[in-house]
Amino acid sequence: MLSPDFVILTGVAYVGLLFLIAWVSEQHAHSGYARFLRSPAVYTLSISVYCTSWTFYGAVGTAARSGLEFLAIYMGPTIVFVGWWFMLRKLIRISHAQRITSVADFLSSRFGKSSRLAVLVTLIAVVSITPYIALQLKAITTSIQAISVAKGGEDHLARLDELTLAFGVAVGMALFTILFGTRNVDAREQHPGVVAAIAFEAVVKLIALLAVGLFVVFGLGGGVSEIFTKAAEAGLEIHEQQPLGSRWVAVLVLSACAVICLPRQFQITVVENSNEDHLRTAGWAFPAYLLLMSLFTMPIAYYGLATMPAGSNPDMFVLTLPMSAGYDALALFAFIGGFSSATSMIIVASIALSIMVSNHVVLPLVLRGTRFPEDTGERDIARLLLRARRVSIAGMLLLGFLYFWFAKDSDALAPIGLISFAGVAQFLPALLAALYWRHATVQGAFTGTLLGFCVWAWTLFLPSFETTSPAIATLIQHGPWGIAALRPEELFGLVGLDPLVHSVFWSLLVNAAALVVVSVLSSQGAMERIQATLFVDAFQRRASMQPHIARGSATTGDLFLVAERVLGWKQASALFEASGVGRDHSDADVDVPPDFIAKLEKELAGSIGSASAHILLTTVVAKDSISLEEVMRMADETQQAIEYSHDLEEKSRELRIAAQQLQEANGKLQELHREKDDFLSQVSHEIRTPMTSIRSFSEILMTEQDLSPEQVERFISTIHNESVRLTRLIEEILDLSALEHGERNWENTLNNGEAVLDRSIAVCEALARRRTVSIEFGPRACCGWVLADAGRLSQVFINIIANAISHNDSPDPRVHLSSRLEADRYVVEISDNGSGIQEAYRKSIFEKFVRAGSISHSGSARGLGLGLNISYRIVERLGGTLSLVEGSLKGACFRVSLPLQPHCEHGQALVS
Amino acid sequence: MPERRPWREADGKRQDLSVIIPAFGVVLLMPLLVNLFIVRVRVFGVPLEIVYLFGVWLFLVGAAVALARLLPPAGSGAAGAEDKPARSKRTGAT
Repeated sequence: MLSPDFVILTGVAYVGLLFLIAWVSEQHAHSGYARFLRSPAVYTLSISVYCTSWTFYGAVGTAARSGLEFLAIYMGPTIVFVGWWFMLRKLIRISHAQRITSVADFLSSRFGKSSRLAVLVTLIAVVSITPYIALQLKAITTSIQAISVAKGGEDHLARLDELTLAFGVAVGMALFTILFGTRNVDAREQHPGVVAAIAFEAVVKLIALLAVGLFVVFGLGGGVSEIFTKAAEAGLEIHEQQPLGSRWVAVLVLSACAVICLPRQFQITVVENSNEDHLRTAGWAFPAYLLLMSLFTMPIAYYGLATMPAGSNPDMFVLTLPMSAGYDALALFAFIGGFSSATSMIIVASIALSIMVSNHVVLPLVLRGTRFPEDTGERDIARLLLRARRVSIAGMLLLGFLYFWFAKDSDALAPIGLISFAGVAQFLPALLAALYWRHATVQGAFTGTLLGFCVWAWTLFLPSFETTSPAIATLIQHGPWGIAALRPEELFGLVGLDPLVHSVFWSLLVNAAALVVVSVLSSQGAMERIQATLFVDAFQRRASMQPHIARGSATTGDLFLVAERVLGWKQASALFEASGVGRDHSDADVDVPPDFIAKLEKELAGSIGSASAHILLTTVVAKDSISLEEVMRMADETQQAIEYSHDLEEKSRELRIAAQQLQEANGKLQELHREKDDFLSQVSHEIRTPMTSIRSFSEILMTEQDLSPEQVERFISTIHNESVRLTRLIEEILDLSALEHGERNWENTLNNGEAVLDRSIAVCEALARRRTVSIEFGPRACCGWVLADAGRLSQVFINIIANAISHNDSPDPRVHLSSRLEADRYVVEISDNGSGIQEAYRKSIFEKFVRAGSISHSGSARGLGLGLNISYRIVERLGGTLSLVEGSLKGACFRVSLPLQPHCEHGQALVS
Repeated sequence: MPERRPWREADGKRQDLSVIIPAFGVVLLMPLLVNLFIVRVRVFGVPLEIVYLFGVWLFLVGAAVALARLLPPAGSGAAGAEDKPARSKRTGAT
């Protein structure tokens, strides 16, 4: 047996060691050693704060009493951590981005930085966790008594009763936590010293439990198989008595919730996390740690049950088995392990709760009570926060102690672990909504959490006092005012369920239903909408979308005053300098960019929580700030403007196309206009030449009296010729105009092209004879039935043949004619052996007033340059083509090609 | 060392696994399945249900080790997530 003095002093020495570790770690937090402190290994070990004395001692007790159930408490967290990629990673990503300081801060920040939600969550956390702290105190005092039970009365420390011991432990823990948990208000609520101490304790408790397990199984029991055989022989039921049922599922769900929602787990897993990627290691290492912790639980329980005297407390088997075998040192080590589990839980839980209480309850109250920054006085927010935290740590431990005192003689503490889990599980619906449901509203989250908490308090927390208060026992028996439907453990007549399952079912159902229904019925505020996007789309969006709370409405002077009071002068000035915001006297009244205000709010949120930071900054910048609603409205307007501008762009594109078409049309018009001008000037020119000669000759005739009759006759003949030419010109112009406008009566009938060609040749024969041009015939088609106006077609042929005759400058002028049928076309080719058409005119020969090589051929009547143009138009209207081709003779060769009519045979028959 | 990696299809499949494996864990731990093993049989002297539960547990731990190696660096996350390069030791190996 160990003396109580020795045990207690060992405990004190152990706490001293923790102080040393924490102190050394704090000192080296910024040196190379910090790398180790921020390693995945230390992170994983610190998460094992999940294993409290409840699991260290209590798991064996649970295994002894209810078989496999204790495994479910570890299986839930195992699944959550194996699935880290899905949920924990997002939780940490968001918390890093938003500088989240606690689970209350997380929910409050997501739901529009709501203060009341933060207060509610803090309240629930305090109510759920305080009994849990009491349970740890109880575990410590019970274990001290268990290990030193035999030597009462001799040592003076042994005279200390349970209460004094518990009080001593509470004071010790409060001191440690205040010293290392509230050294400063950090920009991010991280405590390297505390984390180092917790990691160390995690190693101690694991080794202690493994040592006891190995000792019991292989030292005492002779192997796992032997232990189960012996237990079976002793009449113990080693197999599970009843099939697993709803309680197994409920414990799985609760433990999975707890490893996320318990304030101490949130603090260690999320807030103290320095690198998201540490989850990669923790994802398998933490489940492995839990596996090792529970490896020997069953064997220890069965060995204890089989060998220890009846009535022994199975919760203390971890201590009493080594002691009964005479291994005091091992028992002491096991005691230290259990002590570690209890202290680490107390330390982290009280830090987490104190942060929540100071940030979400104390600070908002103070901020609302004062007009900041005018009413500063001596107040210093950082110092106020630290004081609030220290007081709340002391208060929390005092509450825990009082609860312990109140319940020490009852068995109310035994099931408090799961009751606590069920309490914090009420955060889960809101937490899941925060992570994955964009449209969840603060009203929904608040109502759901509040109702869930009320149902939990009524159905689970209240009945835990059944044995201490007869009034409560009556209430459980008959319901309030005798209303049976409201009996806490048989709510609405739901009977036959385990009380835990009953409570978890009702509370989570009511919670989730209220969350969903109220969220659907209410609408989000502007701030909520922004925060919801930042949370739900944590992986999609970058930090660029930040709510700007004000548009340059605060001066640097005001802001610095605020920052200084929260962060301290040094950190505040570093922040201002890093952002390039001057705070000289001259700049004191200069507006600051909204980006900086948003950044500052985030920095402040890292210390005092998002809701408080928001309130604090709004008091400074509210004077002429624009409201968030206004910002959102502006955003909406911008969105509308963007859509409108898209419409405009589309219209302007259409207009651009229309303008281009207009421009093209205008170009064509101008071209036509130019052509018309050209035509007019050509026509004027053509008219002026004969007019001039007519005028001059008629003047000569009028003024000169002594002209010879020959001269007179010559002059008159010239005047006549010129008049004829003029008339012909005008006729041709009229003809052209008629053709262009298509007004002339034009009747297409079935005609034999050959006959028309023969008639045309006959017309031209006189001219040919005068010019001594011989007309040759090549192969001729038998007939060429075309649909045409015979006169017009003849005009074309005559024009071409006459041109060939009159413009032929060869000494032995010849004109060659041929015609043929080509598929469905009737083709006539008329060529001459003249000098041909110069290359320069080949392309424009069919245009108006183009006369190729006419100058060289003086003496003959000059063409007007309209004939070919008219012919071209006629052929075009007949559906054929007139083209200049390479002919059989060296001169020009014109080809007329007309569509043949299918009545050819019929027509041929008619003609013949 | 940990440069930003291009997004690969395999990463998507591995991320699916990160959800599927815990989901399987839940199914394996449901009473319906566990009760099948409460049959008063002992394996190496240990009741079968305990062996089964520890077996599931070991499988989950093993799967988590494999996932830790397979999953892309946390920083590169889901498509185009964030810019901060992850400081994973294994980035090069995956």
